Amino acid sequence: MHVLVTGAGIVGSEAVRVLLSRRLRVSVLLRGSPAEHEQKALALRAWVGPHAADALDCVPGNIELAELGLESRARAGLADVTHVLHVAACTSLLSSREQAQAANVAGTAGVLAFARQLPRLAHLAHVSTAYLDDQTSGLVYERPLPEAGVEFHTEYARSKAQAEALVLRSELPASICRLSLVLGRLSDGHLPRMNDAPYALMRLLRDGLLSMFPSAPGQRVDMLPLDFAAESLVALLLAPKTATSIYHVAAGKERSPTIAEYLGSIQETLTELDPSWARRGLPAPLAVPREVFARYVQTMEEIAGDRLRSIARKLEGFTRPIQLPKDFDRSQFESKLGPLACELPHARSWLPRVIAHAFEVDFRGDVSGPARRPGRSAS
Amino acid sequence: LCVTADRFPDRARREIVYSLMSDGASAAVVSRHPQRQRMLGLSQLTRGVYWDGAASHDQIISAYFPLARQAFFEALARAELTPADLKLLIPHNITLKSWEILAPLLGLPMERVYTTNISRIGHVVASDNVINYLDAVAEGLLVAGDRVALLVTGFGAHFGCLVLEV
Repeated sequence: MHVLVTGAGIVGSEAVRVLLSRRLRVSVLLRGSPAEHEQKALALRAWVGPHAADALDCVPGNIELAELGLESRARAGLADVTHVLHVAACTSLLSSREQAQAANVAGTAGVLAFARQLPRLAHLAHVSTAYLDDQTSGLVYERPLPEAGVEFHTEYARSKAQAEALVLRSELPASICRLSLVLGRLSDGHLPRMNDAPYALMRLLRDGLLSMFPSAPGQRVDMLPLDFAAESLVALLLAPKTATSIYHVAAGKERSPTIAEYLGSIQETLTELDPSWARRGLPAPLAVPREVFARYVQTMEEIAGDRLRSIARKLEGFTRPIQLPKDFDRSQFESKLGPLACELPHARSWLPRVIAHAFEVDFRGDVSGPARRPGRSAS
Repeated sequence: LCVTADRFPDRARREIVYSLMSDGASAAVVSRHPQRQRMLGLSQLTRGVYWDGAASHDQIISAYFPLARQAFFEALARAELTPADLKLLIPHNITLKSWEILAPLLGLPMERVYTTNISRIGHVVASDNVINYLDAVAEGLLVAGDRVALLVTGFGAHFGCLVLEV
């Protein structure tokens, strides 16, 4: 088995670690200049730990370029790829249409075209997002989106939906894995990068800059630990392929915290790590109806200074996908993976560890997975 | 007898934290057994962490809505009332936009927030509540027996709410 992973971001890096732990041959596309490639390869090798060096091949490439930007020798080395994990994407909720289209739509088209040339291809798993649109509230099913009438909350979501449509039309042996929000590892809280929305909220809350948050009473937010997400993606990739399927790689209603629980967990963890933070008496952010939140953001836009305006803009972007209450059905995911899909405990049992780790390392991503850094004060 | 007076220096900017500042003074008599304007509940919060207003400007703005809401509901709880029991909220005259955000968080429609004086006289610092209360009475918006909440915030940061029976 030879697995091609199209990127080594947060999820890609951990997926590579899981694949190598199964003693598989793995090639990873890394974009950038030769110096950047070298740096990314070093970081990836540090993250995956002491696996056989010859099992991992870091290949210079870029999914946005023709033929994935591969040199002929590299292309020849990938000719026997049997499985493709397409995880490379522009994942910023604040990305422009051009950025999102280039990476997520044109990039996916490039990966599919490349996959068509692979004579031994058994399965391509395309990693998408569970939070695809903001029109749906209630239970979201593992089904294709309607072809028309969907209003997207971000250019990111629009581009991921378009990429899903490309995969569904590709007639390749492919699956779509819609991934939930990903936080640090269940085992130790580690994460290669801590810039995404859940971490940005932790920082704002710690710094007393999170005034309010759009949420209906009891609204949940679906989130996964990185290692569970990667184990699940790899298991789906390697499982015997049937028809093109859509899976919600998500925690589901029974294992997801409410938004209030999530924010409360951040406060409790901060209090435990640093009692002086608690003594400052910073107020808990308010969970407010989305109309009120929209007015708050608009007011900050109109009258606030640069910093608060920037925070309001980011908050608005971060929270768009979760402004309507929704939960994710994962019947097909559970049916495909069986007990593995059910091993995930409720978030309240793992969130405190993940949050504590983020504060301990002061949101510096972990280059090295297994090694723990010395503890730090929370503020 | 409680007296308060505020006057800005001659060349000071009259815009602070998005509010138009005025000069003014007011006075109120507080007695143990009043015939009218009985105090039903009072809440006062101080957060010394924001003592340096300039350095913690953004944090104060971020804390404003949660702490103002907390002061309001604590005062209501002490008065054993709910927002539905209030005839009016008598605000301090900071920017109207802030009340459009805060009112729904207090469970009040904007029609029950007395905002007339925000554009008419601006923010008269500590005198806002007294002036607004008297003007609301003079306009016939309040009659004996009505319940009102007077909400105020000051740099420092202090948040206060007083529930009165007219």
